[in-house]
Amino acid sequence: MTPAQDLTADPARAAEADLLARAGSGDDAAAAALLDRLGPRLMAFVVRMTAGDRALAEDIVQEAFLRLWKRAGDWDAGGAAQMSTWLGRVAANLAIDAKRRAARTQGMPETWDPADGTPSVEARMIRDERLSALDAALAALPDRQRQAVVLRHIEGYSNPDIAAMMGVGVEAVESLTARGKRRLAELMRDTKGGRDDG
Amino acid sequence: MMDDDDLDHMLRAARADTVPLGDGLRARILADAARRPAPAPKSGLLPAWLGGILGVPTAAALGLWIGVAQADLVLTYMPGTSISSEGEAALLDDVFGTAWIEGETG
Repeated sequence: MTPAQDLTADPARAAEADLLARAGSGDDAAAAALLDRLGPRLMAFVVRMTAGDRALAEDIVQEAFLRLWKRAGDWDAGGAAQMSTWLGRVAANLAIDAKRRAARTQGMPETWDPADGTPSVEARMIRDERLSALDAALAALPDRQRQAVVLRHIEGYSNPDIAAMMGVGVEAVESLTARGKRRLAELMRDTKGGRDDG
Repeated sequence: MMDDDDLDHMLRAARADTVPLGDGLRARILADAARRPAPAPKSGLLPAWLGGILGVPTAAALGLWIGVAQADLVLTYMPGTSISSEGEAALLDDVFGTAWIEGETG
């Protein structure tokens, strides 16, 4: 997408910029409207990135929005980054850093046990069953494979972008996404097979 | 059995997925927005870069004018343009190794 000239052609983008500017001027209603507009989508993304760690996901989403509020005064509405993309990128970096730190300091296991109880029961209830199965399979992937698959195949980031976020080379990203997707397909097939058998 | 197309379709569908923020998180984020300090007001009438663009040539022109048109004023404050005491003359003799005669430069 190209800069300023597209602002008029993209009312959603202009509306978000307007809401952020008003939020920066102390308009609480505008802040709430922007949060309701961008927050739930960002939360879904971060919950996937963190393998269903709801508490960590909440911290990351809060931090990402805090950084957005700080940019309210000088947000470039016609700039290259769409607000949702900018938030996603910030959140992705925070999620990758948090998982990396946790793995280093606590020797965290590479996989997450879906029987953990997260995301919340309420969130699970409103989700499509297939997406829940996908989330469970994603959560069972090793951290880096999951992050690469989510960023590439769900969020649609380019391999060089993902390489920059994850601090690895493009070849490593290609390998992670390929292996991750292959493993994901196996896990989904097993899940589906188990359900069909039952 | 799930094939690659099914998985691709499911991954694309996941892109539109949302998760409610929850009241507590929503309240915390909005409190952050309310606490955020107001942006600093723009100071001065001229932006800093404009001040630099105008200020540098103005200062240079003023210096040139003083040097040419007000030479006496400059010489008054320049050391070595006049010898005011025997002590200074002796010092200059020591430094240059010759008799210092005011007005001779070569």
